[in-house]
Amino acid sequence: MSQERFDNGMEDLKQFYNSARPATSSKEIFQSIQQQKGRSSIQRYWPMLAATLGIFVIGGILLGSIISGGGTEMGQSPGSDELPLTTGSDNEHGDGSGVDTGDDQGETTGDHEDATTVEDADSNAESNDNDTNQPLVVDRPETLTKTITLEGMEEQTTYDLYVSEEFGISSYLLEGVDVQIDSSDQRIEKYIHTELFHFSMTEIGTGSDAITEWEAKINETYQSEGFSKASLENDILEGLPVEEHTLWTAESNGYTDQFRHAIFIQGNDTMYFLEAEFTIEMLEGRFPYAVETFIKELEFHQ
Amino acid sequence: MPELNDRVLIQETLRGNDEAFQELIDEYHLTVERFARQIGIREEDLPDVTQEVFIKVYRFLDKYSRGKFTTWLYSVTLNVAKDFFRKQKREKRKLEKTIQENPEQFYQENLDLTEDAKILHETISQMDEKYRIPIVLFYFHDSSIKDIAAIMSMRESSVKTRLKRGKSLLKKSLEEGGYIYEPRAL
Repeated sequence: MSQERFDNGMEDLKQFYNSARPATSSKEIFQSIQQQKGRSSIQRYWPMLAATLGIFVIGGILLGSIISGGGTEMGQSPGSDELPLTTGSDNEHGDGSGVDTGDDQGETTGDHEDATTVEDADSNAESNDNDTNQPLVVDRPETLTKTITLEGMEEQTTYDLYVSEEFGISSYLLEGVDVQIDSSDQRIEKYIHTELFHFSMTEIGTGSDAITEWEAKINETYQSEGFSKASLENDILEGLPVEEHTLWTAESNGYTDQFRHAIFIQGNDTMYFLEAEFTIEMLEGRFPYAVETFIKELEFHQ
Repeated sequence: MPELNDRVLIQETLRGNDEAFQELIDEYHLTVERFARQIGIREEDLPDVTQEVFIKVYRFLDKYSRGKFTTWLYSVTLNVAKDFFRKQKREKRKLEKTIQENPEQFYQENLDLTEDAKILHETISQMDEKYRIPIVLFYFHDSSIKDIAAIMSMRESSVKTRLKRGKSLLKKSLEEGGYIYEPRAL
């Protein structure tokens, strides 16, 4: 068959695709982004608003008690009972949920829903004598750099410190990872990379029964989704320091294309379930190392 | 200088100029839509997928720093589409049906294709995505092998192999009037 016939056919098809009637309108896309933006602004700033209102309420009560001659000495300054999680200078994980007592209103950047502003951490910590209010993590560097070998070439990868007060954990997330939190049923944290790779961690309860119960659940769910158990031997995530670890794979059009890791981790008395899924293309890249680093660097705090 | 213009628009968007982002949408929404359609997104799902791509782009724009904007945009589109397929598979277990039904519907609405183009269209729509995605990017979006490797997070040598196999599948299909031979191993 001539190359010319193939080229002409492909060129015709290209013209045909390019002349297809648009199914989307740029105006509608833009409007939906604006709506989304409005919603996320409210979600992002409501903790700050709530904290500010709280300060006014507490201030009002204090003022009321002083005026009424209660005479009780109140040693704490407003806002000192809510401290940022980390001490550092360039953490990008702020979402404004920390209470800002200074003039600088702690410009919030990034979308991490669980971290707090860092700028005032030192000054707040200095004014606080109560041990229970110390930052959760004080001795871990803000970033971690690792060298990995991809396709025979060494590559420097940077990970950012991530602290979750609710989970009571800290670890390192690959640069560009965003955190979404779902507390509707069970607490789930979803770690999403810019290129849309993600993995998630769920708090599942206490004791080994929690693992047994969840194993039964995932066996049923994964099998119904077309996954079957596979060997972890020689897998990049083999030998992780965890309670239980199984690998599940699924086929697409006759090829093994999806690789799902089901990992149980124990921290203090709590059990966590971590799920990470890779396509075959992802296995050649940085993402398996991102999960490996997150698990290996995981620390649990009281 | 489209790349330079993209960078200017990105910088402007990051400074809070929403009109700049609107310009980026104007410039690229049809590219995203076409690519999504060509890799198997159904006609009725195209608005949702395209919208989701730009929501992700807007959300992660401050973290995007390297490479061509279009390479990143294709990569985001590919991942949103795959996520969409996975969700559908989980919810309805209809992945195969989804991929195969859509191009048929689109094709039936557009009958003014040459016979060869029809065969090629049908073959591409039924190909394994390992071949379909590089073929679509190379032939219909003028992407280089280097760009395809970056979009698919693969080695350039793997892209070349897949393009070569994909092309021979298409040629074979043309020769045999639409018969599709799918190799079972990479």
